[in-house]
Amino acid sequence: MISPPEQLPTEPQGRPRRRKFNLQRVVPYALLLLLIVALAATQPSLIKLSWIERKTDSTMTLVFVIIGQTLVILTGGIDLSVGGVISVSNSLAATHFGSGGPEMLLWTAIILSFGTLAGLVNGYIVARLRVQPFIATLATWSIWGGLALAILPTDGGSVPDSLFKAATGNIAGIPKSILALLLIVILWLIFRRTRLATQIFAIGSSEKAAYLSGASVVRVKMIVYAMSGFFAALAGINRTIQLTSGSPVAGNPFILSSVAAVVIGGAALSGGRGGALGGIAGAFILTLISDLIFFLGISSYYSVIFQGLLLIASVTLYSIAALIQRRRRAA
Amino acid sequence: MSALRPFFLRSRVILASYGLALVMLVVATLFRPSFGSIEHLRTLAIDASIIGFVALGQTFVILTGGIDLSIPWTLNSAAILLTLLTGGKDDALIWAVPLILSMAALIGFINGAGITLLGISPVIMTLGMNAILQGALVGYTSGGRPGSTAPPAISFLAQGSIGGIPVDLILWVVIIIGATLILSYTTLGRSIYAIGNNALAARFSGIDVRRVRIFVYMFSAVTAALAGIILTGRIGRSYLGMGDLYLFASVAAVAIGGGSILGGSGHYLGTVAGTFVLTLVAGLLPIFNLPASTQQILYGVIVLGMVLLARGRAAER
Amino acid sequence: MISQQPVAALVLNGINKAYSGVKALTDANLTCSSGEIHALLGENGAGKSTLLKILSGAVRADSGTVTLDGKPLVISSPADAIRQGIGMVYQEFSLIPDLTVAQNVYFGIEPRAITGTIQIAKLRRQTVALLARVGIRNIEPETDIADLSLPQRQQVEIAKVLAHEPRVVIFDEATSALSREEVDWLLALMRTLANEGKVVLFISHRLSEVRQVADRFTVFRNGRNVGSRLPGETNPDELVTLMLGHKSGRLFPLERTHIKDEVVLEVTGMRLGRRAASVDFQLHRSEILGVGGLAGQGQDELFLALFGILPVEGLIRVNGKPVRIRSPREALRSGIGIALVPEDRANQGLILPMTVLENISLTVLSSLSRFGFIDRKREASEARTIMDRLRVVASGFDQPVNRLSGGNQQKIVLAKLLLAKPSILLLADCTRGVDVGTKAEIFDLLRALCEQGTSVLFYSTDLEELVNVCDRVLVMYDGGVAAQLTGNSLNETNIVRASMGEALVKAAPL
Repeated sequence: MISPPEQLPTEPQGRPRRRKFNLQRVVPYALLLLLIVALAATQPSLIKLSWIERKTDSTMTLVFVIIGQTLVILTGGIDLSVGGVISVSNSLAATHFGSGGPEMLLWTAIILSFGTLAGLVNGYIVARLRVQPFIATLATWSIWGGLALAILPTDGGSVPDSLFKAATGNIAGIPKSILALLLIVILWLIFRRTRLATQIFAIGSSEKAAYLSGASVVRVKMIVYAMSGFFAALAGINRTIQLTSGSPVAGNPFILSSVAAVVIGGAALSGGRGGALGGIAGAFILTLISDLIFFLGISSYYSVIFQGLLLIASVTLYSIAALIQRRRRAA
Repeated sequence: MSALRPFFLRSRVILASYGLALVMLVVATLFRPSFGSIEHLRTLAIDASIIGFVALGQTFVILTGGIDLSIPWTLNSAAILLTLLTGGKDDALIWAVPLILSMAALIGFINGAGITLLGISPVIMTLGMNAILQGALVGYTSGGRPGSTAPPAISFLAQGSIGGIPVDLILWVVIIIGATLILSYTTLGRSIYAIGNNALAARFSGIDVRRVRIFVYMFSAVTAALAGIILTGRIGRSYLGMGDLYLFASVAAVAIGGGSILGGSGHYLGTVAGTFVLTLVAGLLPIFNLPASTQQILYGVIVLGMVLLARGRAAER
Repeated sequence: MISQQPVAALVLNGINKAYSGVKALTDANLTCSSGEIHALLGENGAGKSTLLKILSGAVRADSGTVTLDGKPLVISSPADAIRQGIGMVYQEFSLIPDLTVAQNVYFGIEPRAITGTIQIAKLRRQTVALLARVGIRNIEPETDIADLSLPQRQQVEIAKVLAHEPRVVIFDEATSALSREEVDWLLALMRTLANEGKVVLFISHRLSEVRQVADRFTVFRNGRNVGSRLPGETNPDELVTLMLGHKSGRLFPLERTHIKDEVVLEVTGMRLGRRAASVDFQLHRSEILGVGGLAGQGQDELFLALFGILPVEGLIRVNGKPVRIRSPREALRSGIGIALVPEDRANQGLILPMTVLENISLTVLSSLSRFGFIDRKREASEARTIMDRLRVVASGFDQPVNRLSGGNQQKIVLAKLLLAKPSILLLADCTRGVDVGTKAEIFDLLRALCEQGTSVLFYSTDLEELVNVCDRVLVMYDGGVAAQLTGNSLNETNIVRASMGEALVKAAPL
């Protein structure tokens, strides 16, 4: 039996995590709450279930993208190709869903497979060929974007009614989109507790340490990029429902807004910290900011400014919070 | 070329890019002889030069390990301001151009300050700045088309010639020489490469990392503004959204030219090769009756190819 | 302690490894038995670390075999090695910063429920049990790694390796960050592991530890196994000869320099971090002032503050004038003249992808240039001069520094800082990872510099160095100076006692 050293080191002992209040994780939700309160203040009659349903509907595409983007960013990477995958998915759906039924189901499967495959390609280039994620996914974005143009040269195409019906409406009185959101939240909370999730965080925190600790870095990275592609494809299908048509550049706005939402939600671009829930909060924050601007009477042309300011402000807030935490540690 | 060697960690990729450009030129001329005519080459060169101006700043920023995503709307701001302030005439140029370039410098300064003093990641800071500029510009012009004609002097700058040589190309050549001198022969250049490779060690060696970083972002904004001014002269007017394509082009040119997105290796001469490749791909399409989608796909494939080539060489060391 | 007929459990045979044409290991072999504590000795660059990295999967061998208990092992990644029963306690740690202690210890083998999710309560219990089994009682499983001190991280690192129940446990310089007490604990732990039948392999540069606990040791030189001995049958000189290949010369300088009275640097009331105590001391011209004490007592902060990296409260006076040092750039300027050879060579001292020449000239670029343009001829000649003076072994200016040995790399860092002509040289643990030959050269260099009027502040964790190289030693404790030792009171015992905050032994005859 080994006896502990008689004299303990003079350095401070490790403090239990529970006692420390992690400021950073609360920020996105506080911000979201603040926005809702502000909105309610300017338009008291606004906040009701139908409004929540509408907001969820319009933000759903971004939410899908964010799930995948969060996973990639957690490993310290970034996925710029989601724009291309969304565009391809949207274009394929608008041209091949036809009149619905089995044709639609078949093409849904094809689209989701394409997204996953595209993600695997990214994963291979990043993890196996060791190309920097930024430039790798920028290049693949260009390739998929070109593919989308080839499929659907100009805006158009059509979407069957059955798709629209499938996506809207209620189940047991609750709107489908809100149910979907709740499902995503629950699934994330479960996923976060898995070994795979721990490996994802570890790789983002320190790839070298994770590798030495036995993590299969290549495999995990390929999985997260594949998932990002899958969710981007899903987002593309959802976008089709929203737009009821196709556009070869449908995905482009989602590239930077997904990154922005994830960052506003508290994830570090360097990886290792954050989560999908924060990202989802970030997505809603971005949407609601535009609404708030509108209700405050400012021309909506200017709303992009506030999104930019919000992005910079929230990141600064997080650095300050991290700084405070570091100061407390030194004590 | 030995003076360039220490910094030229990617010299083989640069040669490969020039080689690729040459091959494309030859192939295109074989299929359509007029492609290789002086007039056409001149046009291509001017197209490339605009990417070249934008990519100059981006090269410097990427070399230090950063990235500038605010190029599109800095470019656009300069263009819109130019037409707005001059009203299509030359009289105001004397103060308008310096004003525009100063404002660009200010934009770059804010970018640099946010990144170095507040510790905000370059992706986020420049992304946010881009959005702010976009909102400001779109809001100010209410989404519509403002008075937007280019003043004649600027049109001359972009399209005219002196002694048979386009003014724009003269300017570009001067800039290429200047950039090469800076990167290869000056303390600033050495500092940029040092910071891009290991900013911490650079600081421990007495280099003022903050100052250099802020400078490159200011430089990038100014070159973007310059590109905006010349582009306005080229097409004769300014409009919203004219800068959007140049973000991808600037990063792609750097990457095709062997510049590592992480920083620390690459050179503007490589970026120039990148601009030639991008321009030639676009020029090739009509000859072979290829649709616009092929252009985008080719861009992506070439960027990937060059990045992998550079990686292969680097792994050899 | 060791069985009379040792059973060869771990056998490495014919291992070859080359990095870009330079051979790190040539037909290297190693045989270790069950229940044996086996030490690997040798100079830096002799191949010991590479051999262990091959065993642990961090590096792949070019050829050769590894056999454990008769079974050949295929190790192509750390995951492979761990799975096949090899556990490595890394020198630089393999702990994941953003995870907790429990998450690190059971990384990859967390207890799972049927649903596939990790059972958090069970993880916690297991971690507590494992830590206790190993003798660690003061670390909470839910603590963030960032909150742990260096020795505590070492302990968690060890627990993490043991969580996989390895057959072979390897310690790569595991004692360098630990205090005496913690070292004793570690050596006792190694003995327990060996008694359980494991193969324990360790690298240490502290021969006293090797003699204390090793059952057998093997010496590596130039990538080959040059001999395996029992500790009892070798004397220290023989050992050093085996490691160096020749008889060693004198390590420490013989003469002391005459210290002038002039005070070149004075620090008053400097508070390091959030500690209560403050630092006060004076540095005289031509003096080598040592800084000792346990790791983490403020030495790093002191050096970083003097070089302008860290802002601190307190007064700094250079040559009597109060100064504010806000950046390394300001520190290096001729008015102040302070240069720091940093602790972390790879990240703070060198720009590894760049060449020898590019690294050396970094500190004096502006003085080498006119209107911003670098005068290459002057750059080359100044670099050549300093490289000759320091006897740097490099095939040329264009060689990237990452190809050089640790000792030569350290010389490049020194060269870079000496070019700035500092009057005060700060050295933070500069002999770490440096071979004996280069160490001797560095010590001689320091004496020569002092002769010419430079003053040196020398931080080291090696007691022998502090006693033999320095004129005076400040022992730091909790952010303050616990003792100033010089002359008769400057001995290893006193340094240790002062490090612990205890009273000193009165000037005893040595």
